Amino acid sequence: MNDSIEGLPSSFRDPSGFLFLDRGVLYRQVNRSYREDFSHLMDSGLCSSLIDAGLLVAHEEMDLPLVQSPECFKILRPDRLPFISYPFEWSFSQLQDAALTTLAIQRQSLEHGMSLKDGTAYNIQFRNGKPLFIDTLSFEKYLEGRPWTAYRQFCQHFLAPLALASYSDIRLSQLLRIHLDGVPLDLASRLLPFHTRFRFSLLTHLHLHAKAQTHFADKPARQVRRSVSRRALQGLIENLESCVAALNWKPPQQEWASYYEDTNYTSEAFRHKEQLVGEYLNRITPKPDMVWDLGANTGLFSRLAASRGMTTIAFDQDPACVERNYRVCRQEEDTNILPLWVDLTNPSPNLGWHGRERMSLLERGSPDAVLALALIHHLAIANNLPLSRLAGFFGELCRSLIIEFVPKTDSQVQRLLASREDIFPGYTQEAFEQAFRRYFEIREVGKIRQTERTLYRMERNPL
Amino acid sequence: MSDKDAANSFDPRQPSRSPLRLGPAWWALLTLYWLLFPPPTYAYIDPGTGSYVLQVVIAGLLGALVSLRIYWARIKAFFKGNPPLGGNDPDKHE
Repeated sequence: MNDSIEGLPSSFRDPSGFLFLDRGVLYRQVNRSYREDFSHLMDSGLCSSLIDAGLLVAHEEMDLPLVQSPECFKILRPDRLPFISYPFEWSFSQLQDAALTTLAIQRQSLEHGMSLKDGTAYNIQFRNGKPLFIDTLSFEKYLEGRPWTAYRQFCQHFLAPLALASYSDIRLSQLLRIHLDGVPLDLASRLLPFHTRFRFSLLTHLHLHAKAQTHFADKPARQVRRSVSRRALQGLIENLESCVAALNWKPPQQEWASYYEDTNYTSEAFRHKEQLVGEYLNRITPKPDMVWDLGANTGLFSRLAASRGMTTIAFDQDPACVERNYRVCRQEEDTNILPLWVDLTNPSPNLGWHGRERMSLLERGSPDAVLALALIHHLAIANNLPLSRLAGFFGELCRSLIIEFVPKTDSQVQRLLASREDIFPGYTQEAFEQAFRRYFEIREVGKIRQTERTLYRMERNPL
Repeated sequence: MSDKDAANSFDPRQPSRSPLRLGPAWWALLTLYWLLFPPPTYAYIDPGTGSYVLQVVIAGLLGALVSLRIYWARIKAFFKGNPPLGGNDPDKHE
């Protein structure tokens, strides 16, 4: 391998090929061992039909092999995505849509004489608001009689967390953050309520599946002399589709999802805040490509950035907010927003082999601009973060910052302080400005009408 | 999915499904072969023996249901006087 070429740490499992970066450009090497399957993928028309349907990432075949290695069959340059998100950062409906996309691809693959050889949720990303399959090497020629190799993985990566979220608790989908190859089925089976055994699809794909795994744990698959007909496989995929589609999670009407309705903002204050944020966004030069809205709630202000053509990631720590945001984006076909479920006080860490297989949130992208609206008091007061550390964090994260200062006299802060001792004598507007001036130049300051809140636009000091 | 759609989506006359035109006896023989000597599963991920066994059982059951649905659609079509859907079904031995 050339010195300039760097294999991605996440791309090592599949012997069919791997992803690498060459001078910052992402490529995929297809190995000779995958030659037959790759040719079938292209010749059967499956690849082009999936790309045309917006289900599979498009790629360009490179003329000259960049890598002079004996295994190299082809080099592809896949379309680059603006941001990589992980399944444990998705809301319920995002994971559900990703599952249905995987099954739709498997169904189309069977129609073209191919089958998905893995069913990991990490093969799905969200682009322009829709799930997209990103692994061009996940397809293998379908052999009559062969069962779906990825069945176990599909159940662990999609069905188990969706069923747990739907029937037990939404927070259990965070088990995906611990179990990178999906939620172990025996664990899912134990955590699911007993009545889920009365649903045929959950009884079979999760409960009996878990029992079968335990029973056959030490027996090799070679001893199993049974095959699955094509029709049986189609029946299985159809059943998984209806099972996944029937799962549902209703975001509760509480916490932050109903913040805008509960808050004592007047509609005039709200309009003025919207107007100020819009003006500040317009005045950021150069125009940001990527905006992160931290504490985005249901994404009302994220839409201000998205409507200006900025790719916007709307983070919130409340799954109900993220779910509502995604549903609105999906309904309104808002393609510039990616809602993600992230707790800023404990963002996604490095995970997997060597701690490098899955990247931490902050390694996966750097926003040009950040919106931090009605956020700082939660971090400073509910999470005891000193203002100096907050300023340092934002100074590391972005060059442009639109941030709202919420003083102690604000009713929302009073609410946070109602149940605890006020140990925050340093939480003042002057201290806030002083802390942030260490990293930023304050360009604009605007008082939000009919509130005690102030909106700032800041630009990072030259490093 | 309506019965008609379901029947259409499994129409064995679709060239992508069965490019080979074999008689029922051949299909029965082929199936017997696959049942006796299934292709080995070589996969870079472990399909899991338990998952494999369960899939064989569940998929067999679900496949039978799909077949039932298709035949039911054909019976309905027959009594309604519509032309039968998918006359030469390669999977009819199931």
